[in-house]
Amino acid sequence: MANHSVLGLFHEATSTADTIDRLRELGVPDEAITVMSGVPYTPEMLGRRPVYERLLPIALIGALGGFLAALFLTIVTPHLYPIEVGGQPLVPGPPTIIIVFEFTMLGALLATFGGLLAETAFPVVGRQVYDQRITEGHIGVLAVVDETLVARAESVLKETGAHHFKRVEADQPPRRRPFLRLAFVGLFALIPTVIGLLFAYSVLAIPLPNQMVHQPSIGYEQGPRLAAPAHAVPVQGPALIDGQPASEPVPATANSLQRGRVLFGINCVLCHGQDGSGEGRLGGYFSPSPTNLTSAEVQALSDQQIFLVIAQGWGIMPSLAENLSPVERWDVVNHVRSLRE
Amino acid sequence: MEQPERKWTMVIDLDKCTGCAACVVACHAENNVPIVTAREVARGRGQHWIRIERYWVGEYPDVKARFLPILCQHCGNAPCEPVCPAYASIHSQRENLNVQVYNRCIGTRYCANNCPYKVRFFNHFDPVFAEPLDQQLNPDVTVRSAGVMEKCTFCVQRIRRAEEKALAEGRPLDDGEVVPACVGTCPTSALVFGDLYDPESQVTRLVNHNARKFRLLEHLGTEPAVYYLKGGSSHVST
Amino acid sequence: MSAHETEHPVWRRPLLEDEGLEEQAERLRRRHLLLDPRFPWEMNDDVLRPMYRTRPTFWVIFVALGGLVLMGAVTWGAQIYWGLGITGLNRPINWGLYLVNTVYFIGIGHAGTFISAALRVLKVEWRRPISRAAETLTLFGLSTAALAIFIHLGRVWKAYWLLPYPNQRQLWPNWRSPLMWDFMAILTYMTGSVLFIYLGLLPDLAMARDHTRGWRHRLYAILSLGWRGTEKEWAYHKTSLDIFSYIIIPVMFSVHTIVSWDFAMSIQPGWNSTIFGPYFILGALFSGVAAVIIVMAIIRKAMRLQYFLRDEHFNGMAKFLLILSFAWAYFYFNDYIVPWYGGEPVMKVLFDLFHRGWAAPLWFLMLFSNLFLPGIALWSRRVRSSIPVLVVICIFVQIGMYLERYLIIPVMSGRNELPFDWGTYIPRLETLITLASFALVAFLYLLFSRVFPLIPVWEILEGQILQGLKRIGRALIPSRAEPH
Repeated sequence: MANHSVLGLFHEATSTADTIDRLRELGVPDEAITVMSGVPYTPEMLGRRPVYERLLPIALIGALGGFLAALFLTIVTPHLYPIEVGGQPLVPGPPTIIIVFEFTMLGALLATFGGLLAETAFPVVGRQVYDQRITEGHIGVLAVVDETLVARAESVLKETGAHHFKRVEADQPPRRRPFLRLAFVGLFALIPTVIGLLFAYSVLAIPLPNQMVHQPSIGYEQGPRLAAPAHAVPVQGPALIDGQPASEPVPATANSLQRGRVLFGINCVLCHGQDGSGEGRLGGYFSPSPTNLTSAEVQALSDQQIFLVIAQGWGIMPSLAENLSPVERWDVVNHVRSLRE
Repeated sequence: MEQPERKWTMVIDLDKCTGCAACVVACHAENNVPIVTAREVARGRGQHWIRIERYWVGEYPDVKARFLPILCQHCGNAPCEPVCPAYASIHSQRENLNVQVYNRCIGTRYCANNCPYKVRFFNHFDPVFAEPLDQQLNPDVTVRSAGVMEKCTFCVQRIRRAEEKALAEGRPLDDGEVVPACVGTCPTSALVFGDLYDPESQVTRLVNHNARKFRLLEHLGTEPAVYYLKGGSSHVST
Repeated sequence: MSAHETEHPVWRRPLLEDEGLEEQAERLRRRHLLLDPRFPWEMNDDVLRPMYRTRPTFWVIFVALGGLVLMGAVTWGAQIYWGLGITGLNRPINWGLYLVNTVYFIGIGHAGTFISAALRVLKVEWRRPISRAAETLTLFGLSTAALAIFIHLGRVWKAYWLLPYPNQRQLWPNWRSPLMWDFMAILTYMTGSVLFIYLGLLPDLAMARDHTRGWRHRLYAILSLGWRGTEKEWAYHKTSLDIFSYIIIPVMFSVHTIVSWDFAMSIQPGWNSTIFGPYFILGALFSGVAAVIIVMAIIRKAMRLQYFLRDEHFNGMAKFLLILSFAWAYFYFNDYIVPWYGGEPVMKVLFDLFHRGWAAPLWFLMLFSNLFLPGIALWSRRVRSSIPVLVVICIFVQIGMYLERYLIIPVMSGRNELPFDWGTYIPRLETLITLASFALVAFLYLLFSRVFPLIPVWEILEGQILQGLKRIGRALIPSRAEPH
């Protein structure tokens, strides 16, 4: 037996209530009668049973959810990564109360709205039986009746003064598919959460400019260090290294030169080459390549500067302070001088 | 939470301070503090992690100048810390320092509002280091970008270096081993820096039972870690 | 009541036979919207028609406001690029016009919530035509305030670090900071306001869906979610609005209190006042009600809503404004006399600045605009009934309340315990962004008024059905029924 929908429009409450009584007498169950209006009429005005709505428990559940979320945020998260600030405990009372209040209220609000959507099955997808005159102040009485009763229902509507009515044959109400709706909502909520977490854990990342990553200062192992600017104070006299006694140069005697040659062969040849030109066996692996010690620039440096390069390193050249004692370093300096072309 | 191991304290002897501002310059050099133009200073944006406040006292012809070097007081109860929403301004329990984390700062500037000593500086523009100053930048200290707060750190990079060295050499830290830039450069040794927990350190000796000592704005309850010494008839009071 | 009145739709109730009473009835009908029912389709038309009509004036205003907003956006871009140095901020004044804007715009938003939620709870009937227009102001005021918060950040592109979500930075936000309370409070309030206005809009969106065509019809059909006005829908609707009203009132109080705590929690002299919570709430309501009156006057004129917005509404709002003016003065006096009496040196410096210093003209203008002008003028019924005069008073109130925040934020923070570190704030490019903020609120409001009906017809119809005339002796008295 197919169901038909019959819709009648009325002007005001009394005739509407009469119609509902008559339809009830016809045997149409209360659930099959829907009253639609552009203004809220209470069920009492129309002789109907009050609608059982349960938004308050839903709101309370939402409030509880918000409350628990706030407790998590204010009590648990500070303990995950404890950071001390200004004489306040990790979980101070008054700020916690504030956050708990706000989240509880937010939870209640969201739950109320969500509850409204869920309970009224909003948004409704698909056609519904409706008439646009309802928003012009008319009250619509919609009865879903079985084929046999249709004619009698229509006559009831005529008698009680409906001024417009229509009938929709074999109307199938939109099938309520709660699980599909829930799945849709779930997906809707899940996708942004997943994307958010991917960003949160840097699986996805937007290359925002991060200014302080690239520092204009020159790091210790960074090269090249630029030449000293004009009018800079030259390094002369004893070589001064912080924390060590001043080291005086050793005169370039034959002994010193010979020691220097041997030590140069042990420590320096691999990179700088036998002749100091920078073409040692390992030289090619480095960028920039090892300096040509015979060049004019290197030979123009003072002895003390060469001493400091040996003792502290330069660019990617490591410090040889552990390999060579100060006197030995001066010997090597003397040898480097002798490499002048 | 960590156990407190050190209480870094600075003692500034106002009877020795000549107001020469060498500490200001040294701090700029050590900590890559940007040099704002004269026009910016006129707008009130002078940026000196340690500054010499000069107050005129008395009427002509008995005018005196009082110098007050003010730097971050590293308050024990710092008002700048609880107000930062991004945890960029926090407290180091272990060494009782007020720590500014540049890369967490989003520039709300609440900490600067709450500092009663006004020692917090906001980078209104990107710092410009004209050549050849950019070669002088200290690689141990981040060069801050625009939008970030900064302030004196008690040269925490020097503290770290000294601690690492002591650890590598397997010995405790000596008094006088950590020398912040301002302390090291002061010609009259008006600034003294050390660990207040160390009973033998110079700061402890200066602070204990010293009739000349006072702290700035103590009534606010900030518990600053900088002590000032001033004898004589009057001092720049709380 | 006679059988007549219950049997006919509201718009067809016959006038009474007695001559004398008919005159009274006519008079009452002219004065009270809820006693003056019209055909609902006429009311729908009155509300929908202005949404289509775009006279040349509209386009001029649209382009002007849009241009200002664009200018603000460009300036903000420049600020992000170059840094906050293009503003007048300095040390010690770290918060300037942007924070003043934030507090101001959140403030004017409070009236909307008060009118839709608190007056609804208190069952004040004349709130019916105003509620949506006021709520819209709340919505856009809040949005602009939130924008102002973002604009004032030094590194706004990192602002997402304030969101509490699990991450690998080994950090959650600092809940001990008043700024985080601010964030959560504004979030809650904004969510509540958006949902509240949407809930109230649902039946009107259905009405608009039924009476429009084309893209509007499709838009309203989606947004009205299939609303038909069934009993179930109305029952849930009413309960949701009730729950929302009861919840959003404490939220509204908490929001501006928390905003005031951004200042009260600090130890800056002048800010560190325990009365800031209620003081700011009152100030917010005060400036908000004045702003709503201005908006009401504008939409009444521009959208020809003279049927809906009548003298009774302006009168009611103006009386409320009068009460608020004195309430504001009470709280201001509290905040003033306590530190004044204590005589703390820093506070003395501040008071001197206000009484005799460069800030004196601002301070006196503030007192005049907030207390003397409304407190004296609004007693007169003629003033309250004259919309132009009322608008002028309300504009002065806006100026006064803006100055009040200006005097608190950049002026007070220029004085502190160390005289070497005093400063003066001279706003620079942030004035452009401030202008753009005001333009943005107006611009968004303008767009909203073109897409959504600004008058809640269903509420008015509900009120007209429930209100009637009761005869007591020879007089006709408006009477109101309350469905339980």
